[in-house]
Amino acid sequence: MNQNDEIRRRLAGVTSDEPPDNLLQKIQNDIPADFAALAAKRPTEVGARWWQIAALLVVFIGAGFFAWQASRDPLSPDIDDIAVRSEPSLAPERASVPEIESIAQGETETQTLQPAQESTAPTPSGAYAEDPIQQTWPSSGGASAQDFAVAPTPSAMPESDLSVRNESGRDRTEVSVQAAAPPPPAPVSSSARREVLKQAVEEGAIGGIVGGVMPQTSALAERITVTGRPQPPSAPAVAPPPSTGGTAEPNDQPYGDVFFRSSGTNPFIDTEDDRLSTFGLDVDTGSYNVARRYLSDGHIPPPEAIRAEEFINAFKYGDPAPRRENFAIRTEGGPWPYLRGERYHGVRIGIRGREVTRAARKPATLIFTIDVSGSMEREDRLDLVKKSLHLLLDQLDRGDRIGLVVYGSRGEVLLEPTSDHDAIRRAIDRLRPSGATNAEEGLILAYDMASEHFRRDGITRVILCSDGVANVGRTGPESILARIGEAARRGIELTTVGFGMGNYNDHLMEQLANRGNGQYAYVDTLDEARRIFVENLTGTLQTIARDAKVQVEFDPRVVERYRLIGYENRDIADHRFRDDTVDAGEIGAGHTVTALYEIKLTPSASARDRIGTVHLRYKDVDSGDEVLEVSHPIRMSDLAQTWRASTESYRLAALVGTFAELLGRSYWTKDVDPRLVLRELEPLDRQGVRDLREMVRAAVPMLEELRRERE
Amino acid sequence: MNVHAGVFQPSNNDEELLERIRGGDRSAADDLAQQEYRAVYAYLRKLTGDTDRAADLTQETFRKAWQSLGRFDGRSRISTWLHRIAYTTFLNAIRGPRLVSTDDDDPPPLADPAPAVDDVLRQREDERRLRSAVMALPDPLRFTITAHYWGEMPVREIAEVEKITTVAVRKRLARALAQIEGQLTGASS
Repeated sequence: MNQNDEIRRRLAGVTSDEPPDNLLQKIQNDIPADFAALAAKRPTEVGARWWQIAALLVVFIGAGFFAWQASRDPLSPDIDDIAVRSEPSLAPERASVPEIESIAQGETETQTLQPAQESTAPTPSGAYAEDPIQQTWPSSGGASAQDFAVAPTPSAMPESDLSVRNESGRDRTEVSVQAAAPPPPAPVSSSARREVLKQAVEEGAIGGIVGGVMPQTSALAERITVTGRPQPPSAPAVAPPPSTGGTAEPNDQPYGDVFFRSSGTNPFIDTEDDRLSTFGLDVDTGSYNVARRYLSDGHIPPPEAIRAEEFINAFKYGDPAPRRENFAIRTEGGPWPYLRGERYHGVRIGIRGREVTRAARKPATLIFTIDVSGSMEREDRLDLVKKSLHLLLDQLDRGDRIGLVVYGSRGEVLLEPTSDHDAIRRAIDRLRPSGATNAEEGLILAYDMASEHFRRDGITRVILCSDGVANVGRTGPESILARIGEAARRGIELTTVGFGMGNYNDHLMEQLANRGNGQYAYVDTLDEARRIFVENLTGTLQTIARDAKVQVEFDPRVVERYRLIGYENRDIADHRFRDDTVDAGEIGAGHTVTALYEIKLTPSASARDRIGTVHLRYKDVDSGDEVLEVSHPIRMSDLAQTWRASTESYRLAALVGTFAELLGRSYWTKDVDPRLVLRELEPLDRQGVRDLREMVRAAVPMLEELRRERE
Repeated sequence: MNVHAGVFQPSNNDEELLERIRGGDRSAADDLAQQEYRAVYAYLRKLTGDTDRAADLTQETFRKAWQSLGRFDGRSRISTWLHRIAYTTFLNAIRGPRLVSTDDDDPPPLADPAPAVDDVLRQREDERRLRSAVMALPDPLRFTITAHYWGEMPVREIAEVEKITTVAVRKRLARALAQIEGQLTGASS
């Protein structure tokens, strides 16, 4: 009894403390726009019970169907041949999966490398050596062995992959308004123009800019265009045609088409042929939101609009934040959703960047470049931009500045960078749609402003908000692309945010951001705006790693073949993994990147084997671009035995990847019933998954119709 | 310190709050968060022993709460309902892969010249052991004891959400205390 009292006393005495200052703000930011509707529906007890019974039935029927389906062996073994033949241009070098800090296994190997030290990929002779070229990184290697980053919220899965602290703030920022006459675009000689254009195309930077103008003869361009074709105008917002073609509202510009470009689908690779999978990291999520927009309008998105990695990265998987290192890596997996029990497994690799607290964040200068052309009037697009900006403003610190450039027929400086919030708000409220779309002029003004206000010790970023910038091609995209690339090298990054879809140029927006070392996002609702502008933009302003790339090395004794889901246009040649001049992904503080592989195990794979190793290589921004490389093992013990026993985060990633491939009409999912995805998402009742389920539900009949047409 | 104000406040406020929320009043949702988040955080802080995790889980708890608001029948108080969500959220978190380690959660103590370092360390160690003992309990006992002592939830409310009698709750509490004691003494001997 006395003992019990003692324990009561101790229980009561457990330490507590005040919640962090920004917690309430974060919680309130999470309140969904439809909170009233959510609160309103109140199923009765009986109703709820019936619902549960119905759900159970569905699960049973589903399980039965599944068993039946599995017994039919949907993908027969000889499929590899077909696949490789069908995608010859993409066959070899695939790669993916980076990593940094091992969590549960506590196995972190880090090393610093001289950039030029090794220009070819390590291929230890024959046998699979344990981390062939690893050395321990002296400064933190010792400690990191026990430096388990504890996953904070495995349950915080869906929703953006960027879980960063966004802080409340009633701080002020100044503003100054100045309507300057825009300087004319820099003249460029036609030969120089051709040269830059060629270069841009080769780098995949402007794949979609000029539609028919693009040189179709370039081999690289062909590669990029595996299945992509310029889409005829389609105007999803109002009445988008199914999949292709149709009558879009013509933009007020000549090239105003919805424009997507596909990079094909990664094939399976035999580990015997190539055990290395190498790719640049990508934190974009735009493709997911574009697809959601299409589906909610009742149309199936064109396959070219689907980038599976952006679907996968649109969700959070509860990966733990690193404690001391720049990155934490987590690997997990289980049976592949539609090939269970056949040695086909999925491996999810989650890489999460260190977070930078608001106090530690460098002051930012954000130059918003806002499309105020006539088309922005539609569907309240401009209105959404304005609301987004107001949301963002609340997140800024005293030291942060905002500048505004607008472009319609002409570019115009609306506001020189300032931290005066009142002035910024006034300027935002003055935004009015007008005239045509001269994005180039707007961007030039923005970059002039950014250069002028560039601070070496701060963050300078240009943020382009537009519903499509197709007509930059008219006056020559090369000059602006060159300018973007050059500015990015000096530390001025470009983030592109897409609004609306009538004349939306998805590919261009992605590639502009890519060239500008920034992110690309698509905003179609205020919720999404909140996510992008409040959580992502402020939280991830500070870049922590440049040119981040991943190489996954599979052990041929354990893995027969592998296939990376997505990242098709982030492919890097295996031997260039340690070539630090290769342009790869930029990772902001708190960013999470997820890579998903489908693998087939060898018959002899056993529970204690190591599947492979994830190598992550990047330039550490804080140390002046010192090149760091870390590795993380993927073990058989990371794989769950059964689908049901797999972690929810793995299941979600695998289902999202499958759904993306279905929408992308991937060869690999041609026999997959989309209802499977719907069914398996059911138990994953998390925020964000609801959205996804709605999307899948909308897509099912359309996908089935497509399939019937095919047969 | 009114860290637990949300828990002890009379609940007549709840109904009004819910009405406003259903009426589409965004500020009511904000108010709900403001009214409850400290208590939820305090509960999770004690469950996890970690400030960052507690903050993350608190956020997650509210995210789930908005989604399940329609299923909240209003028979218990909002705070009780939120604690239940917080608890499941916590369970999901510790059930996740590779998160089971309770021993290595805390970063090694920083070298702090303050004289109380030893005390702090001892208290931290005691709490760690206590927490492990609590986590080792079977689930019904664990929820009951954490809700009561860490969530400051009265026996009557626990009985309501668990759909058992108050007598049963008290029995659970007694059993839980006995088992914790067994764990702690067993572990130290």
